[in-house]
Amino acid sequence: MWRWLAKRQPAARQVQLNQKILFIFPTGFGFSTLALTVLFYILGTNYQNNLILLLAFFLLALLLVCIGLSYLNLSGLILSTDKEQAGFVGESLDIPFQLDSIHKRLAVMAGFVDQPCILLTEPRSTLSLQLSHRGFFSTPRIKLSSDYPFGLIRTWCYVSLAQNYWAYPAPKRSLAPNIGNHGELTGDLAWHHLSSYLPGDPIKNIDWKKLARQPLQPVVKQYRPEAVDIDFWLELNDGPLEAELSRLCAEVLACEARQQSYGVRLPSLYLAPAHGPLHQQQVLEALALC
Amino acid sequence: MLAALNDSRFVTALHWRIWLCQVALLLLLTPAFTFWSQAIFALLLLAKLDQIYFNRPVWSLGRSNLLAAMVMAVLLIMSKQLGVIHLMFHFLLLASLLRLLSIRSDDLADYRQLLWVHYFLIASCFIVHQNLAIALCILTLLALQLQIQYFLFAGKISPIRWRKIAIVAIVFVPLFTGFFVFFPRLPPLWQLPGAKAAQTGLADDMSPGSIEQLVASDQLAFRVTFEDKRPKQSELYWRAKIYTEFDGKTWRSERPSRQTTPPIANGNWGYTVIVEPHQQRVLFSLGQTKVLQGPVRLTAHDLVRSLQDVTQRLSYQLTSTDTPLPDQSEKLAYLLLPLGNPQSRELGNELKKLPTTQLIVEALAARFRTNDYKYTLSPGTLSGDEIDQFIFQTKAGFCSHYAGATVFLLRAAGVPARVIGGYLGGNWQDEQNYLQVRQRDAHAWVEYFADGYWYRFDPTAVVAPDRLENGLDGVLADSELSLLQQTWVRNNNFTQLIISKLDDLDFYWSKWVIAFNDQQQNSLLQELKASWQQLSIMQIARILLITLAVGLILMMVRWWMQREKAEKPVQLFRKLQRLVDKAPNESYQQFLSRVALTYPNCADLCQQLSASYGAWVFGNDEVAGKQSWRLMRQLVKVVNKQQQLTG
Repeated sequence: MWRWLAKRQPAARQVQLNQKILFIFPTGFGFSTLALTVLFYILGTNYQNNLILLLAFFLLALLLVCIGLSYLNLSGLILSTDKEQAGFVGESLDIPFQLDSIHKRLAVMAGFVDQPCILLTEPRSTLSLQLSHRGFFSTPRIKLSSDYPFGLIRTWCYVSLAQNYWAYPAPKRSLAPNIGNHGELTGDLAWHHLSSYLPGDPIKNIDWKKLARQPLQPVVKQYRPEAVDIDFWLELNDGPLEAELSRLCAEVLACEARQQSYGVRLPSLYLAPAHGPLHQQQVLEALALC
Repeated sequence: MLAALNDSRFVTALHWRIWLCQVALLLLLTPAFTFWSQAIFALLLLAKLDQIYFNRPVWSLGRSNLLAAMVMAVLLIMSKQLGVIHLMFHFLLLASLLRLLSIRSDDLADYRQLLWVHYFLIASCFIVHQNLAIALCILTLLALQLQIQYFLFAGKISPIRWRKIAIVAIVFVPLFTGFFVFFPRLPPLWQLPGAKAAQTGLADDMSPGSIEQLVASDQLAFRVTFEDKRPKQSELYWRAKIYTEFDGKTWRSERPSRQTTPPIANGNWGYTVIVEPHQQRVLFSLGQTKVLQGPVRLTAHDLVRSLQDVTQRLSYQLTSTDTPLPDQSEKLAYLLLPLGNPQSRELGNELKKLPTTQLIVEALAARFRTNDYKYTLSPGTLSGDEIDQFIFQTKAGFCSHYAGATVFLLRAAGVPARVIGGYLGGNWQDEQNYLQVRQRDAHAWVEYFADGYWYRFDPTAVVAPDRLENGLDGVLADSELSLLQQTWVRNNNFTQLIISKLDDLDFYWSKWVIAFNDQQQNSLLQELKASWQQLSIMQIARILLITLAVGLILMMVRWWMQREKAEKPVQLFRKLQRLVDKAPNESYQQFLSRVALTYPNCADLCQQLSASYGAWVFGNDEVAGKQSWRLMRQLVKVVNKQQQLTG
């Protein structure tokens, strides 16, 4: 069935719910109301009581009108993807997506297939996903369903958004002592940037040259620990792959916290040492795909 | 939805609405409940009210099941006198009350069951009531039920959106009326137990004072519409029951026999009767009859009987002639007399000497006419030889006395005779469109047998002839009339008008909605088909053209509503742009400053406009928006004048 759905609605960045992808079927309550209608018809016919027949016709007409109303509640809703998310194996990741014109619609429930549903009320909503394997995945299909207005007819659809997410290996510091080169921090502090003087800053940090030019706006030099030139390389050592990847992930996070450059020498990727969010992302992605 | 059910305000709002539904159901189904069951239900409802207002926890299933078992046990003991239908009502209402008391908020299944049972109870209300006023109350109850269902599945309480309801109604109402008119209907499939209630109207026995009691009520008995010819007021003798046996005090109606009289070919009058529920099978007809339509049958002696007890409004169609009824059967039963009343027997023997039955009847009539007989509601009690006392001593009585005494005398004179119980006359309503017959028109008269036919004789017509034309109003003494009028609600002229209008509405409701059965549907469809076939080409063309025109108009309206309106700033500057050219790369405020340079005398107008335009578009200031429009109008005027001056 998923193959048929995939042909009918391929993954897209933005999906508008229309007649092609929405399914409509009466709920259990709808069927019991239909049974009630038949019962009323029989009762009304036997008693020759037109008012009970009227009630039967009322319920029948209600069921038919509900089909239309239920469809209109979901039709036209536009689901679009948000930016890519990333998380670590073992955590749950919140995948956001955007909805258009959700305010006019009522009681729309959404959730990944076979996962608990949430009620949609805001234009931006998130659904959480439990990450169990590392890698680069696309989100499963989202099931949007609604029982509005009287709970008699249910409209639902399976939307596949072209939304991907990264699952990085779980960071786990290994207990074995670290093999591989570390960089030792020297005690030197290096100049980093300038900022306005705030009362309390040490006087000796003031940039005197600038002060001469702008007496009323003192500027202070800020320092930070010097990044060591020693290259810190991440490599796969012998051992179980997953454990190694976990260890490397932990190292990456630790280096990034220390603002230390680190390079990567992996079978799939060779990166010169650097640091920063972009570099971290590249490295983690490479680790995820290893 | 589950989150909404955790919101206690939502749950409270839902619960008190459901509670209101149940109160309404209890009130509407009152005729089906006994005093004690109503008391129990009221107590349960109070318990729920307490639960709602003081936020008490819901009852456990165990407790409600125990209560259910107890109450059901009591009801089953009383079930013999309740009847199956009423027992079912009890059970359903009890179930829904207890379910509401023990409803769990974490599951929608409980609510669904409750709503389902409520629908069934609403249908039950329709079994018990069919008149218009209560039908409207039941409709509001249905609306409340729908609102509850809507809130439950929409997940929140929202105010009633009339506009949306109106739009949905455009589709809903034609669908619904289409179903009502065109959906195929069947005749009753099998017999179902009827709702038991006390019998009203003429009883099987006419005991002294029974008709007097009946006449005190102003209740509607039945309504009649005539096809074309209308009988005179004095011809409206509605036959209902035949009383044959007399035991000295009470007249008993004869057992219904299996025989049926052969129906007549075609009667003078064709009419439709709509009978109010009276829990019996007796129905009303004039003279010799043939049944045209309805779940009724003709029985012996041209009486009409319903196939089932009349527990809800029933409609049937007859055609009749007011001719004497032929009868070839055994007449012995109509000559039997009880012991006693020697004076009357004496009188009867004397009358026997007269050569023809007609003369006997005339003699009796003359006797009643000339001997100071009075027509009164309260003649005093008679005992012992009642007929003798009535004819020779008191000489005052009501229709049942006169009829009974006449039959006694006729039988003593050897003429087979019987008392007929029924209704006389009625009130024409709505410019003679339909006739209303009430319990106060109840009457008893006589039929005697001569030369192979049963003839009608009404002693009341002899003693109080005004009764035929004016009903009891024209006949009784004022004191008696005022006594009756305390129970009749016919005093004030204005209220009478309103009441009669409401009665009319109720009648048409009965005729078109209640009485619309499968035969009527067939005839309606036939009529529609016939009129469809009769449509000529011209008429069809006309209809098509009108439909096309209406469709085009609707499409144009829709296009007009949906066309893209230019944005407000563009609209604002449109007129000015006609006068002064604006470069496409200019902003509106730059444009204004250029206009200020070109036309120096409106420079500060331009500045003001620029400021308010900025506040409106970028600061969302509506007041500035209105001001912009005003300033723009002035600016356009000035620029226009300037341009005209410069030529």
